[in-house]
Amino acid sequence: MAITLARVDDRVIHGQTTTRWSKERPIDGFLVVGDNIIHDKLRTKVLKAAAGDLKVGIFSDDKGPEIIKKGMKSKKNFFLISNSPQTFAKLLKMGANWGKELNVGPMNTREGSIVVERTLALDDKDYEAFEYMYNQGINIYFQLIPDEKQKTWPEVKKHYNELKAKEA
Amino acid sequence: MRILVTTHGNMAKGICSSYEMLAGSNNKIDYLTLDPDDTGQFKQRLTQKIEQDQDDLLILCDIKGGSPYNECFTKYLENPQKIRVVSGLNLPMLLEVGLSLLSEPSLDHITDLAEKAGRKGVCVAEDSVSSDQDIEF
Repeated sequence: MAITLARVDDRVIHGQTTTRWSKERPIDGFLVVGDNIIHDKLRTKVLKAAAGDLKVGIFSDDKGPEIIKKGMKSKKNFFLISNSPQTFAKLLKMGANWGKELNVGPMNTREGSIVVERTLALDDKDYEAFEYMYNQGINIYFQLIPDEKQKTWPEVKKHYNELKAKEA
Repeated sequence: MRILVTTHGNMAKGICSSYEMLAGSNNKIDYLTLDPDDTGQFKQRLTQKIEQDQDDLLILCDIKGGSPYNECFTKYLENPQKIRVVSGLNLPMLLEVGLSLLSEPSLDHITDLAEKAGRKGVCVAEDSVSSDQDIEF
């Protein structure tokens, strides 16, 4: 079939994905893209174990576009996951096409980030990445699990800018 | 179909909140706790929960032979057509049956799901996972 879910999630593969999204959309395996994930052997093991019976492939950013193309052409269904919107923006710039949607799950606080929603912390680079993808026509929706109400990038962006202004 | 989770103390409340975090809220899942200072109200509250709806009911209990289980077992014996009871409650069990409600399972089927998922959910962490790529397109 294709890539049935493209998702930013800094926990990559965990309960919300394996128990909830996998019931909502067809999935045979996970395609995980991220230079910082592939080089972490321990994390790789944990992610594979978290996926249970589902297969996991972990790839470098540079391999991303090729892998996404294979996934889109395959008869199987995949969830495409990276832990940062910056990776997705990079993939888009490299010409990758995973469809017109991008789901955003949890993004934890990091140095220099602002907590925008309960489980969403963004920094300026994330902001740029979302802004770029949005302007390229990607429908970005923030939603941890399918039952939750979606928030759009313009809504989240507005909130981020308000918080940023307060901080200054 | 509806589900009632019942336990000694707050486990039932807690596991429902864990369920919600993973799977979202579901008004077909309810809980009932046996409180430490209970002096017989549990039975009454259980009866109320059972009678407030005519739907079939799957009851998940924390431990076989405990008071919540014993009361529920009595209710099952009184009405085996509409009620089933499974003990050994755990989160994989609750997730499996909770998410199965969408497909309107029969009482026999959902009881079977509860038992299987509950058993399958118990495993020992092992360092046998290979870090090799095993994805196939």
